[in-house]
Amino acid sequence: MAETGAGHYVYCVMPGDAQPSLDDVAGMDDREPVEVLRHAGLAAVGTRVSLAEFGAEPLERNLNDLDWLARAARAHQAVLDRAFASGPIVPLRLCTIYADEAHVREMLERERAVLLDTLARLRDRSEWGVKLMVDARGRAARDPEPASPSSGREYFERRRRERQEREAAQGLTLRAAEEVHERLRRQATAATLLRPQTRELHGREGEMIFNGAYLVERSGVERFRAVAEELRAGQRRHGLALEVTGPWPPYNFVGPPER
Amino acid sequence: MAGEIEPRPSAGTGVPASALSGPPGQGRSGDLGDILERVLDKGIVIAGDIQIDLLDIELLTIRLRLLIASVDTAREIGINWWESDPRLSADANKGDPAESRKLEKRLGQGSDGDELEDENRRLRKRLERLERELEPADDDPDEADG
Repeated sequence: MAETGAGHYVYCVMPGDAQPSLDDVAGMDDREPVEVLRHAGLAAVGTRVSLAEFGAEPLERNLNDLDWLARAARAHQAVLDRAFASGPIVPLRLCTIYADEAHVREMLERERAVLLDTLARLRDRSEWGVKLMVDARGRAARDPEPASPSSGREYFERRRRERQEREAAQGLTLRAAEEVHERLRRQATAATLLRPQTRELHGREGEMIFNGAYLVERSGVERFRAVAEELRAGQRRHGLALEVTGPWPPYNFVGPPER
Repeated sequence: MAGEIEPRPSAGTGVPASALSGPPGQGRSGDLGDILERVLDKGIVIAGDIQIDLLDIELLTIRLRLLIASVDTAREIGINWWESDPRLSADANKGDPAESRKLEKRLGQGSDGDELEDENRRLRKRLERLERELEPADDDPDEADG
């Protein structure tokens, strides 16, 4: 494929009558406006992008450039946030690109039924993320390694004690995560477990032991947050920090319905 | 080994999420980790004209390439997907009925669980060795049989 000319990057799809306010949001290419293309009762939010940057070959290189990837992810998310403020959206995965607007229209026609179903299902609902962090360093600091054992028996005794403590802590965190998930999913229309982020991904001290996502009705958001706050207070006593993020566009709930 | 990558100091991508204290609708933090896990792994997959690894080969290729290409850059912005077990990231993380079981399984598969098993094995070995050292042979004539 020749890497010249322009393509059409699509961020998300909205109902055909959506009126997102996109004038001052920077998309993938800040020289190009973020526009709404209406067709088949749907609205695709997109931007013209240069194929020199978003063509197959350069794109593959760019996705492996972490600075580029981070910028793209933030730009994608910023547009989704803006669109989501005005109504339901179906987020597309990062870097879904069409040759031109005619192909975007074809896609809207082809996927129309699924997109309309999904939009209907997601109306007035938002995604909330809930994570549990345990400060492993804090735990280690409370149990400094004492002087070398003077005998094998002492060594054993110490190791056995450490193991018991670790098992107890592990059981505690498992129960904590279960309690959090059980109580929050009762406040949600749907719930899903995400893989806990590694330390390098979340970028902080401590270990993430739980990462959940919840689809919450607009009318239930206040209650959801109140329950989360209650849980947060309870978990803090166990040395666990509960964190809530949201509202997110419903990234985790746009797949086909569970069987 | 990927496991030797040092934890980063607390500065970086992690923005403490104080969502609970903020007014409704303004709570979400700009945490890059949260964004990446969503825009790369989630969202509806509809085929575009430009087919890239992200859609075809999913993230594994990208993850591996990231490891090879730019570990330092990755660490700077706080990504280490390659340390993750691809078998875990390959599953869809969905399905209400089995969620509690999955949760248990996942937590059980965490480093603590593995560490614990390793530690148990090491301890058992060490126990055997120490017992041999501590108990003189003449205390227990049968020891040689054990």
